[in-house]
Amino acid sequence: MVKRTTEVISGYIVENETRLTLRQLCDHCSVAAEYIIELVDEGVIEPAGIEKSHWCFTGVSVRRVQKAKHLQRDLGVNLAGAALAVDLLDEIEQLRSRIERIKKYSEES
Amino acid sequence: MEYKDYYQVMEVERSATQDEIKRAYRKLARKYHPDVSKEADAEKRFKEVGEAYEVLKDPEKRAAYDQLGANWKAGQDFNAPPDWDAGFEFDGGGFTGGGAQYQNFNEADASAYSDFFESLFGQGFQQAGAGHAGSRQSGFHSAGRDHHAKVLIDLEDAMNGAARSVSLRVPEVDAAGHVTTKERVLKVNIPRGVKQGQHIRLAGQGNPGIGQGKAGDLYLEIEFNPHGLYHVEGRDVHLDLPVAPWEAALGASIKVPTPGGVVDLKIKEGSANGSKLRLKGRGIPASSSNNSAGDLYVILQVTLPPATTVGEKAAYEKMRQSFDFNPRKKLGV
Repeated sequence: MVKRTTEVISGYIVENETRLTLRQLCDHCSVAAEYIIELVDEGVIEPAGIEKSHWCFTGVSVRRVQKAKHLQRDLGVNLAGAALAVDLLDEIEQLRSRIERIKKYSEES
Repeated sequence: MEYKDYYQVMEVERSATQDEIKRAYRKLARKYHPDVSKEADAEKRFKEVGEAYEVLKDPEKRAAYDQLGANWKAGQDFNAPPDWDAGFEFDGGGFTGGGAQYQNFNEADASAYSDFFESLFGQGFQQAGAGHAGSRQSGFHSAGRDHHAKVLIDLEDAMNGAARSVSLRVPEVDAAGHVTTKERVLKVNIPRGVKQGQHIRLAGQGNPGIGQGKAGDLYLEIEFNPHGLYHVEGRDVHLDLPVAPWEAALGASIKVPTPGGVVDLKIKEGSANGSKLRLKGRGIPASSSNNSAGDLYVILQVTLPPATTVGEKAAYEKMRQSFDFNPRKKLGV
C-alpha cells in the first residue's frame, strides 16, 4: 500500500445545484438523455420548465438518477421497479432519522 | 492468496441447482446493494456476492471451480495448481458476457475482483477479450468511473467548515496488468452548512480514464458522527435541556450550549416538561444563497432533584402540603 497525500481540494455540494440542464445532468450521471427522459416520464425526477430544451433540474436529481441506474444495473429491476425503490429508500431514510430522534429522547427521559 | 468459498459467500450448498444459485444471488444482491443497505460492509459483501455469482452462474466456470475440491476452507492460503483449468473452456462470456445487467461493466470493474478470482479466471478473460484489448491499445478511450465514498464529519465541521482527510482504497492496474489496491488520502474542504446525506462532488477525482478519456468524479456522502449533546435533522439542531422544577415553574434565565457557543435563554413561567423552544437561525448555517440557516430546538426536560438531606426532604414535604396535585388524575385514580 502506498500512501499519497495531496493538497486540500474543494468540491461543491451537489444538492445545492439548482439549475442543471439536461446535458449537465447526463454528464454528472454518465447516462444518455433518453434515460433521463424515461426517468422524468416515470416521475423519478421532476424538471422545471416544459420544453425539454429548457428543462432545469436540481442537484437532488443527480443522486436519484444514479440510484435508479445502479438498481437497474445490479438488481435487474425494470424502470418502474427502480422508481418505486428510489421513493421507498427516501421514505426509509426519513423514518430512520425520526426513529433515531425518538430513541435518543426516550433513553434520556 | 486466500481461498474463497463461493458457496459459503452465496449461502448455498455445494449441490445447489443453477436456479437456487440465481435465487440466492438475487436475494443477497438486494440485501447488500450499497444504495439499499445500511450495513457498514455492504459494498464489500455486494462485491463478494457478485464475484461468487460470476463463477457459479456459469456452468463451465463452476465445474472448474468445483474440481479444486471441497476440502478448501475460506481464507486458507491458496495457489492455483498448474494446468488446473485444462479441459475447461471459458468462452468470451467471462467478465463482459453477463448480459444486460452488466452493460456498464468495463475495465475498471474487473479490478473489483479478488486476486483469487484473477488467478483462476483472469487468464481466460484476457485471452477471450484479446480482440477488445487490442482495440484498446490502438487508441481506445473511455472515461473513468465515478467513485463514491462516505465521509464522517462532526457537527462543528458543518458549522464552521473544515478540511478533512478522506482515505480511499483505489484499485490500480500496473504496467504488467496486476491489480493492486492503493490507499489514497485526500484532503477535502468540507463546505460550511453541509447537511447529513448531501454529496460533495469533486470533479476529476474518481477513477482515471483509459487512453485520452477523462477521469471520473468523486462523490463524497456526508455523514455526521453522533454528537453527545445535539441531534441533527437537516440543518436543524435539537438539544434536550435539563431544567429544575422551579426553573420550569417560576421561569428563569439560564445558560444553554449551542453549536455556535453558549447563549442565555429565557424560560417562561409555567413551562411544561417537553416544551420546545426555537432559537431561530442557531442551527447549521446556510450553505448557499438558496437555502437558509437551520434553527436550534431546545426541548425542556424537567429533572427532579434527589432528596437526600433532612433539609431537602423537608422541602419536598413542604411541597406536598402546599399543592393539591394528583399527577394520576387522567388515569381516573
